[in-house]
Amino acid sequence: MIPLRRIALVLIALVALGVAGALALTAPDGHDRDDRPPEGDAVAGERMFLAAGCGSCHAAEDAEGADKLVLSGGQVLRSDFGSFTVPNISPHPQAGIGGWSYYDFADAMRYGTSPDGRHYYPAFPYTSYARMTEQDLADLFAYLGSLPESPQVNPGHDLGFPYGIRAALGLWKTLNLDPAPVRPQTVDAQIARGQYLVEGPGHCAECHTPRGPLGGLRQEAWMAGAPNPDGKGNIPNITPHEDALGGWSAGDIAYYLESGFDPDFDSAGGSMVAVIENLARLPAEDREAIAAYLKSLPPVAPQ
Amino acid sequence: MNPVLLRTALIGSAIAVASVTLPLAGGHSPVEQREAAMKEVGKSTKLLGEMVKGETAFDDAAANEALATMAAAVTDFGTYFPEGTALAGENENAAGEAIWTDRDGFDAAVTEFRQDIAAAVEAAPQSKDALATSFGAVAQNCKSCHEDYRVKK
Repeated sequence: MIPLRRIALVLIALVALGVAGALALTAPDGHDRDDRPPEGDAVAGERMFLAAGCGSCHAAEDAEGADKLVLSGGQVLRSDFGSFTVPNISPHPQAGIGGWSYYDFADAMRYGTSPDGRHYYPAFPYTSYARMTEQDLADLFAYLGSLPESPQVNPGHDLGFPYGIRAALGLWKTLNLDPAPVRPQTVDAQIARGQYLVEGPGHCAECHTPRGPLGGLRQEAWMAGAPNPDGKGNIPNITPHEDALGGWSAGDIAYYLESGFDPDFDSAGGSMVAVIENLARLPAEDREAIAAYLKSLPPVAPQ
Repeated sequence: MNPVLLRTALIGSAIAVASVTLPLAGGHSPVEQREAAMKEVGKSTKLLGEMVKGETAFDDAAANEALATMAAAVTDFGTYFPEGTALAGENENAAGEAIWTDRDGFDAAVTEFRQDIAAAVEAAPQSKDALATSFGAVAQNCKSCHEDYRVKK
């Protein structure tokens, strides 16, 4: 007979292995600090700032004019998991991200990891930003550093159990954080540019693609529309399905992204208005690329 | 004024007003009225937008008529949103609850919209460029109001 003590020792060893495994699975990832950070160009970074729409969440609610560039945070995003308060990402050294290195920023954008090694909640769409190139991240970081400082300190998130446990996000990330492109890569340079903008900085899928039970995007229904994360109503299907954008030309889509008018001259509403305000300031070729990519998607029936 | 004459004048002007507004009203309930008004605005916007975009030729009579139609359609627009009609109606897009939780903001937006249309009617654009300027000022109201006060069902 095996002595009880030995069984107990084996059990303890197994539990320890399990804990170590769980810690390894849930530990935040990050960049190697020994690398030389890339040089960022703040002027080029404005294009990424507009494509990514950082200001739509990080500026104060209803900010107008120059205040749109004060990224003080403080907006509250309500979700089924609880309320997230958007952080200050102005270059203020204490209240904002003024004390961050490029690699702190890149960890946040690509791995959803904070400088003190904690997981960010995916209300911050790093699962999309993870697809951004190093040069674009460096340019964006330089641009953010050129904006006004805000000393505003915001309250923390208010989340229900078990969503307050950040370690659980490590598991969520192993399921949902993948920087690989969603659609197959193409040799068409215009579609490829659109794919990069839509799947990466533009993070369009975060609202336009439905989510599974664990909050991951359902890639088989890519861009097929979803319930509005802000509350009532729905976010439209933007695939070329006949009940979606099938009747729109690429020119119609590009014009909508610039003017907010659909082919019937009905106007955009809801959170898309802020997106269009940003996209309207991109070079026309970027809006045309987004349109070309959307036209290239497989049509999916409304969900 | 002679009472009989006054009455005749009042009835006459009531008929005149009714004949202008009735075809636009498109129904009796406030929800039907607002949907009909928005459809009129939408039709005019399409006509004007296509001219500005260069898809159709600039036609000064048609453009100014469309601006006048828009102005008439929204004369009483603010009164078409009584309490309890959030998300009502047949359209895919509907009035959002924010109209009632932020009534002052909504009323201010409607007033601004009406003023911008009135200014465009006043400006009576006679060229494509002049129309583009007037249209731009009116059209920015669509997005800013729909951003906060309209939802897709």
